[in-house]
This record gives sequence, C-alpha cells and structure tokens, in this order.
Amino acid sequence: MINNKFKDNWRNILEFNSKIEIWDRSKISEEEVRIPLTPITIKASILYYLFEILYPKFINDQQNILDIIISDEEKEILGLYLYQTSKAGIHETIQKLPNDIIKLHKKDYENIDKFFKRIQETMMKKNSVRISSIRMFYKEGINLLNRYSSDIEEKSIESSVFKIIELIQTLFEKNLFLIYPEPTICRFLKEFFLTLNNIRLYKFFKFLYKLLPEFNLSFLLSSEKQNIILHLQKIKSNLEKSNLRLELKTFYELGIDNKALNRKVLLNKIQESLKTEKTYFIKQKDLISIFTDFIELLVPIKKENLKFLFQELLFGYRSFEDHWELMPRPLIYNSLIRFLLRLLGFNYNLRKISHWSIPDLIFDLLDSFFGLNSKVLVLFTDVGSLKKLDSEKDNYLKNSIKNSLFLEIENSTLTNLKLVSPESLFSNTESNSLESIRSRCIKEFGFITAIIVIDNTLIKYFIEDFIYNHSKFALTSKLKMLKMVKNEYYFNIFPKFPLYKVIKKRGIFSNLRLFLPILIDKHEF
Amino acid sequence: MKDQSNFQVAVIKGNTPETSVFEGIKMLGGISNFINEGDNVFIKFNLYSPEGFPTNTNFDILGAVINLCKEAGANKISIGSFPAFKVPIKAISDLLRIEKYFNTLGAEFVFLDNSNLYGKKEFTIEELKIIKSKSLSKVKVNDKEFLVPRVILESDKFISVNQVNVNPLFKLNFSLLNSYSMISTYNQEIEKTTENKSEYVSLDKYKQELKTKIIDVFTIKQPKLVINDLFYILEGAGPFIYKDSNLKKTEYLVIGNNSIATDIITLKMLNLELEDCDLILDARNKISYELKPSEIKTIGVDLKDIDINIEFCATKLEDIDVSNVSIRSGRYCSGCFKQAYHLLNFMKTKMIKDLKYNPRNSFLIGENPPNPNNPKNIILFGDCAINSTKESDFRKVIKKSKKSIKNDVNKKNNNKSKASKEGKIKLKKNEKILELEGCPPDIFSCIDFMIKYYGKINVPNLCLFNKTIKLWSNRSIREKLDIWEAF
Repeated sequence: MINNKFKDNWRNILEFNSKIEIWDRSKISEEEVRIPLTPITIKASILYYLFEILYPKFINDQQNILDIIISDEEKEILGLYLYQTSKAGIHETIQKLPNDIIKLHKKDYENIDKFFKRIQETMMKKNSVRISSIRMFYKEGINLLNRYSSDIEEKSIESSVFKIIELIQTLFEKNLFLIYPEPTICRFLKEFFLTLNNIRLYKFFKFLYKLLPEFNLSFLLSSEKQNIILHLQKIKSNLEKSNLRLELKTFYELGIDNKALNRKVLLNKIQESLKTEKTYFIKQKDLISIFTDFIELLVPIKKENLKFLFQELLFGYRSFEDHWELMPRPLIYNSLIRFLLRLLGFNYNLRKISHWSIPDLIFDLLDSFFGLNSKVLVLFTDVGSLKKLDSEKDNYLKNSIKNSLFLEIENSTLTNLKLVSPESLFSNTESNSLESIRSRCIKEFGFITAIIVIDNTLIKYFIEDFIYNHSKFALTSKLKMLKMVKNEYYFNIFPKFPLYKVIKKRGIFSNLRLFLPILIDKHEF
Repeated sequence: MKDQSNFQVAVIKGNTPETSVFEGIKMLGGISNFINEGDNVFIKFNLYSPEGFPTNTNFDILGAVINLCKEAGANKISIGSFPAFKVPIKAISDLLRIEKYFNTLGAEFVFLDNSNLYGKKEFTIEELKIIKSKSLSKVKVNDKEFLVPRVILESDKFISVNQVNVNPLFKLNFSLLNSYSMISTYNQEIEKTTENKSEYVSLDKYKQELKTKIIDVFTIKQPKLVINDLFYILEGAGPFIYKDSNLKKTEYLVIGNNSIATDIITLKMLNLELEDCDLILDARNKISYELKPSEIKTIGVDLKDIDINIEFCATKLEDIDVSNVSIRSGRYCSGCFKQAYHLLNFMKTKMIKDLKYNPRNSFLIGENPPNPNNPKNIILFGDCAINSTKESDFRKVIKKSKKSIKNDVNKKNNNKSKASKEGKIKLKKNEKILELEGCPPDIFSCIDFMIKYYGKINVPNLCLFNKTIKLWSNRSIREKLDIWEAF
C-alpha cells in the first residue's frame, strides 16, 4: 500500500533507532538515511536526535502509536500498524495488526475521543499495549503520499519543499490525515489553511524563493546535548537554474573538536571548513521556543498575540552575542563606528532596538488609518519585465501586474484572504489608476479601504538589504532601497496613508533622523 | 410634533451590515415608504477625521442606502458631514479619497463647508462671500442662530446613517449627535455665557448648553430615516480609535423613522435606561414629551432576546491608566473633561515611548486640583487649573545654595564639626510646568506645546504623529478655514 522507496527508507530508520540504545551514538554515525518525505540524506544519528527533541515537543510526548489506514468511504480499516516506542517519538519497531481487531462504526468520526478510547481499550486487551496516540490516514491521503514519494530521490530540494507544502496543505484541507489527541501544530495548520481560502501556500514560497539572492550560509544550532551544523546554499547551476542545497552535519563530520573551544573560534572553524559567507550561532531551544509560541497562536491571529510575537522576535534580534551571534562580526556592532555615526546625528545601535514599543507603534498606525475593520487590495507587480517604463506610465500597472491579493481585516485581525484575477481589475478602455481600480471593485468587494502596490524588485532588495544583510552596514544599498519606497513604480499606496505622505515629502537623511529615534532606544546603557 | 403612534423601529440581526439594511427597510415597509420618486435626498453620516472604520461610518452601509434611494427613484442623492475638528472637509476627503467612491455609487459628496472652493486661488474674497451666502442659510431656533447648509435644508428627504460608538460625554454616539454635525465645528462651539466661573463649572453649564444646542440643531431638520449601526460597536475608549478601544461585533442594526425613538431602542438594547443618558432624556422631554420606550413600536428581533454588554468610556479621568502620568483633578466642566479625555487617550496610544523617556508626569485639571507628588513635568490642563493654582506650592521650587547642600551632607554624615551656619535657601519659579491654556484647550495646540516643552529629542513618537496630523490640520489649512468661517 505504501510506496516502496518510502517504506525502505522508513525501515532503515527503524532499524537504526532500534540499535542505538545498544551502541554508542558516535560509533554508528556513518549510517545515512533520508529524512522522510524529502530527498535530503543525513546521518541517521542526527535524524534520531531530531525525532528525539522535536516529536515529543510538537506531536506527542507519550509512548506507543497506532497508525490506522481507512477507506475513503470510512467503511473499513485497510491497515493497522503499531509502533511500540520505549522513548516518545523514537519509532523502533513496526507491527502489522489484523485489520479486524478494531471495528469501525458510523459515529466514530463524529466522536473521535470515544473512538480513541475504544481503540485504547482494545489494544490493551488484545496486545497489552497502552496507545497514547493514533494517526489516521485516508486511502486518498496514502495515494497522495505515494504519488509524492515515487520519484523523491530525483527531486531537487526546492521542488520537494514546494511539493511537501502542497501535500500537507491538501491533506489538512481535505481532512485526509489526523492525529489524535490533536497536537497544537495540527490545530494551527488546519486553522491556517482554512484562512488561506484555497490559496496555495507553495506558490507563495516559490515566489519568495525566486526573489532570494544567492547565498551560502551555515548555522550552528547549539544545544547541550547535540550541536547541529546546518549548511544552506542557494547557488546558480550551469543550467541557469537556481539550486538549493541543504546539509545537516556534526562537528565530528567537519573534523572539529569542539571541546574547550569558545563560540567565536567554533564559528570561525565552521566558516573555514564549509567556506560559507556567514555563520550564525543560534540556540536550538530559542528556535523551538519561538516556533512553539507561533503555533500556539489561534488563527486568525489576534493583534495582541501578533504584537507579542513581534516583540519576542525583536527582542531576540537585539540580543546579539547573547541569544545569537554572527561571524564575521558585523561592523555595525563596533563601538567606534557607532560613536562616529552618533556624532553625525544617527543613533544606529541594533542592540537597542525598541522591541517594546515598535509593535505598538506599527499596529497603532495601521489601526488609525485603515481602521479596525478594513479591506485591502495588494497588487504585486514586476516593473522589471516591462521594456519601457515611461511610455507606459498610464498602463504600467496593467502590464506589470503579476498577482493580486484581497485581504479582509476584522477588529485588526486578518480574517479572509482571496486571490483576485488581475484581469477583473483593469480596463482596456478606461483609466487604470488606483482610484479607478477601487471604483471598479465596488460591486465585488464593496468599499476598499486601501490599495497597496508592491513591486518584486522592492521585495528582492528588501530581502537582500534588510534580511540577508540585516547587520551589514551597507549604506548605499540600504539608501537605494529606501529611495525605492518613495518611487511609485516600486511602492504605492492608495489613498496616500498620512505616514507615507510624510515619508515621501522628506529626504532620506531627514527620514532617518525622524525614524531612528523611534526605532532605536535613546539610552546606551 | 409628529404623531408618536407612527414611530416604528426595526431591530435586525444579520450576516452582514448591508443585508441588514435591506432587511430592516423591508420590515419598515420598503424604501418607498421613505423616499418618493424624484426626491432630493441628503444622507448625513459620520465623517469625524481621516481615520478608518469605526471612527467614520461604514462605507458599505452607505453604499447600500444609496442603492436603495436609487431604487426608489430619487432625483438626486447628496451625502456629507462636518468633521469633528476645525479642519476643512477637503483635507479629510483628500486623505480618504471618498469623493469618487460616492460618485461611482451615484451620489454626490457635498463639501458642506465649500472647502473644495475656498482653497482655490481663482476665487476672490467677495466671490467666496457670495458662495457662502448661497450655500448656507441662517436658521433661528430659540433665539440662537445656526448656519445650516442649504443642501440639507432644501432636501426632500433627510437620512441619518450613524455609527454607534462609545462617547465620553453622552455614553454613546447617538443619531442625535450625528444630526449635530450638520452645522460646522465652529458653529458647534459652546460660548461661555455666564460671568461666574465657579457657577459655570459647578452647574456644568457647558454640558447644559451643549445639550440644548444639540437638540435645537436637531429640530432644524429631522431625519425621515435613521440607521443606528451597531453591527460593530467601538467599546472601551472612543469614539476615535485608541489603545483601549475594542470593536465588538453584535450583528445588530436599528432602523427607525424617528431619531429619538431609534436612539431610545438603541439604549435599551445596550441595557441602559433612558435616565442613564441625559441627552436623550432631555430630547425626549423637549421634543416628544410623552414618548415612553414601551410605546415605541418595534419590529424584528424581540428586545427581550437581546443582551449586549459593552464597556463604556471612563467616566473619571483618573480611570484612564496612562503610564508615568498621575492624574489629579479638581472641579471641572464637561468641556474640559471631554478634551482631557481625548488628550489622555492620545497620550496613552501614541506616546508609549515618549512617556517612558519622560517619567513622573502630573496632569492637573479643573479648579483647585490636588498638589502633584513631584515638582517636575506638571501639565496644567485648561484655564481653571492654571488660574486656580497660581499661588500653589508647586509653582515655586526651593533653590539651595552650595553651602546649604554641603551642610545637608555633613548633617547626614553626623559630621558636626564641619556643619557651619545655615546656608541660604531661595525660592524660584518652577520652570517644569506646562500650561495648556483654553477653556477647554484645543488638542492640536496641546500637542504643539507638549513637543516644545519636552523637546523633540525626548518625544520622538509624538513628533512623528504630529507630522502626520499636520498633513490635514496645519496652520495654513486652519487659517484658510478661519477666514472662511469669519465671513
């Protein structure tokens, strides 16, 4: 029933997991397996470790799991597989059980808790095993998994990432898969996909991936138990096609003896060994904590929760050399440079980002102009695809539009998302100004509070200058990006938001003088 | 007085505000019961400031009402309002860009203050005077003169579409208050009529005058169709969007053929008695004396089945919890209360960082307020607070000579040999006082004074907000409006 490639790889993982308690972990680190549902091959011991820390945290922290495969009509059980786990999350053995030991009733799907308890009792009676969790797959879900896994080894990492996102979205949207008791992550994903309103998430990631610059980064994900080195690369292959490379390694594999070495030396050694441009140090527990906080949010995400998460992220960002570190050390953290900048009137201290006030300020600005309830149309353009920009001034939007997204916000909470066909927004005979577009949309959407136009080039520069090179003191490229925000071809908002009007009216340095005191705390100590 | 037996109010619970409008009007006999073919209709809505919903009316509801008027065969549909501040309507309309929206729907957005004209250079002052006299008409009610736009007076049918939000003075923004902004903000101002300041405050003459004025303006032109939009209510702090504001979804709409009746039913729905709201009580007593809530014919949802509890605005200024600000009130009138309420909420919402940079502020309001705990950063709000504290202790601070400071240190250290004769202690004027003049003070001026007092570097957030406010309320814009209003 299950695809052989998937099955074989899964058996290898189980075999490894069953041996690891007997042997010493470091001695068997040469064995390699594929991360399930991906083409990424890693050391089996790293995968073991990932299951050991992630599965109990996000799925289920108790032992013994039962996989149930049921027919699409919900009439019969097609497969029962028992995993007796001595450690939560570590799958060691698989046992096929007779399908008829559990009877399916019509009402089982209406009251899953009752069904689960019945399974627990049956398993206790017949196999003397206490089940802590069930994973139910519909036949259609298994078919989807099989189709996806058929050529998994040949797939590039990026395409497998997009496909797995699509697979997960389909499984949750069609309710083809469930875990009971339901983990928070499943609840979050279900609610999140519901809000997406059939918008395919993988397309969004594909769009972002295209805009990502080439990079070669490594991350030292540290923990007391097991340090992991993530090597992530986006390179241009000979086929003029971008490729993503991802490797998970240990110090042992890189030949680094991490004992008695301080963090900075370790980061330098990793950078030298993997020949990366930058090496980050991040604590595994911080990553897990942020991710846990994120999935614990109820979707639609309320403004207050979003503010809190934003504050947490900003706080993390300002904790340089405490919660995270970067090698080579960015110049902006050099006290002398900061002092010189301050003499020029710019207080640019990233360690003093006002994490406590920025979220409040941003949400207040949005609330007061857009209102607590609003409808916003976002147009994504690609001005770069136009041959001549000036001659097409009136129609540049129509010719450069790539995607349009309609957002509905209720009490400052995003409640509805909808993709809009760009054709329905533009006219061949009438004006295509943003005001005309708003008038044209009245029938379909009612009063649109604002239309925002964002060009791909701006997003690309934003990712490059403010995300990839976030700590780099590259004044010219950062100023160039800020200048683009003022250029209506790259960014526009209708009606002109008072804050945007203020930004447009002022020069870049004048804007920096206005905004830096808001973004950065005044006191150095 | 209208025959009260005809007062009808429909209470509708629906999926969307637009469908509720259609359903409610259908319950009241259809739009033809209100609008005849060929009628010139004026729709009055809330256009307080260049902010989004619910500060201003829901534009989708306005769209539904315009469509219904068109359906009834209205000849001309005009729509408009005066804003909450002394700013030209054009300044707000330009930021929200609503003129074309209404045009597309088939209604004309009317600049009731002619601000679309008086900003243009091609008009001379004489021409503008003629325009003003042609567009506004003097109406006398109870010996008071009001300048009312002719487009409202001459309309065949007047409709009020009102967003219900909490209000610091009258608990809620009733349709009666929506009618009040059919006259300009200048015309809405309350002039001090009594010489006796103490009486003015103790009898709260401001509120009495205001209520009388609201009721007088209401009698000039009463709406034939009233919509109180409660589908979403702004609770906690309002009617503008503040940090403590919350939008509560009730899914109810109240539609009636009389403002007072519709407002009374709205009160009842929110578990309020007529006595809880003096404005509506006064209006009922003056205009439709015998109208009792039980006598209003209600259709649609049974009022017994409705239980909406909302959080009203703070009734005491001390209840507004602004960080690093200690609020100390003496006796104040409603005028100062209203303005202080808005200023304190503004500070709480927009000045989070600024107040952290400037700790230990004291906000003194009213006659004879208690002394502040700290002699620094004392904000005296309004003429009453300024004048009644002229001789207060905090007006002067002790300036010690170096010698007396040395003595204090020596005494503390029990070093008697070094302690010499007492040094000189002088009293000097406390410079750390910010006086916000006015009766009541103007919020925009208050912001300017605060920036000047604290210094730009210490109030970065306030500077940014001030820059955005200046886009629609700067000196030149307000000067033009002042000249126009002075004609």
